[in-house]
Amino acid sequence: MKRISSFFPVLIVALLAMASFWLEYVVRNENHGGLGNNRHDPDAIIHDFSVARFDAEGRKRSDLSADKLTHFPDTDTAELVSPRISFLQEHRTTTFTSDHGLADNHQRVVTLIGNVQGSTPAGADTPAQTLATDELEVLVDEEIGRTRHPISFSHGASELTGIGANWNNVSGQLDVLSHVRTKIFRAPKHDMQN
Amino acid sequence: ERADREKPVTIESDKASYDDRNKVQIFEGTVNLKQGTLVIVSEKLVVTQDAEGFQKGIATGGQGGLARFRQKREGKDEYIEGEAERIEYDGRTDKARLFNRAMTRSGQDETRGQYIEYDGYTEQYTVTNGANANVVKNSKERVVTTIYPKSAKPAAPGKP
Repeated sequence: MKRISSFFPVLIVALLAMASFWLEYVVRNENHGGLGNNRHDPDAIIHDFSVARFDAEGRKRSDLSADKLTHFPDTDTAELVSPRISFLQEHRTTTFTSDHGLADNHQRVVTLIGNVQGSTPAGADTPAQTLATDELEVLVDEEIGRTRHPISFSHGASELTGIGANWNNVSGQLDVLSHVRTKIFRAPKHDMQN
Repeated sequence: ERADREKPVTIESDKASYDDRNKVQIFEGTVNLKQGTLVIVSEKLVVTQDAEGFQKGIATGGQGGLARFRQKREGKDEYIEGEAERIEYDGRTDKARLFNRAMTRSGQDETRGQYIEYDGYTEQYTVTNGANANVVKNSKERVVTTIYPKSAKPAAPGKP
């Protein structure tokens, strides 16, 4: 029994040595390990956020606003609550709204998510247009919107549905990529022939 | 049919693009236009709209390079069919104009020419052997119309 007990101090010393090695390990890579690192916490929250962008001649090109913007440093993205983007052309203003938005690199690319509505009021010779889809990725500087989701679009007296679309505000062109169904109504009017 | 003109136009296709600048919509890929009894089938369709809606459609391409149209005749259970390299359809006046290798057929009667204009309202059509409605004297392109006699077939005996 005595021999075993003489081992006892050796055991204690071994334990202490291991403890110190463990302590040294934890201290050395403190910045990697630990819990707080991979958390997705905001570093900035802005209420009633709005940013306006101008072109080289100083003309206002676009407005981006939202009720709330939450910025996350780890992914450098911002979550927007009820975002609103409007593009100002010479005589047409096109506005997009949605429930949520996800913006990255200084809000240059904003993905509108949920109940996306786009609208352009009637111009001098262009009828009013509306657009509705579930998700729309908007490149604010290039004034381009694109989606792979089903889209419904109205253009004056005609309604169109399809899947996938590219919209370009500069060229005023909307391409619908597949499964196109269009209905064009004739406004009832007294026809001169009958 | 006369009522076609008041009906909405529905168009189905694979792809479509709206061009706001020059007010034109282009449909591509098995395009199918319907207005009442009128059906136009083609590979590509360019539609221009006016303030009141559908204005004009230009259909090109299709099987064998020909766009096809089909419309029911007024009050008869007969259809008029036509095909051409290009079909221009004016929604307001219900006039279809067929360009190049044009052919229209109603029942068995057939008419061929370089240009046919069919008025869906009056159901009359004009045919010329030259393109774009001009007549080319003594050219080899001839207008060919075949009209079959409607022999009074005895009514089919009622089988007991």
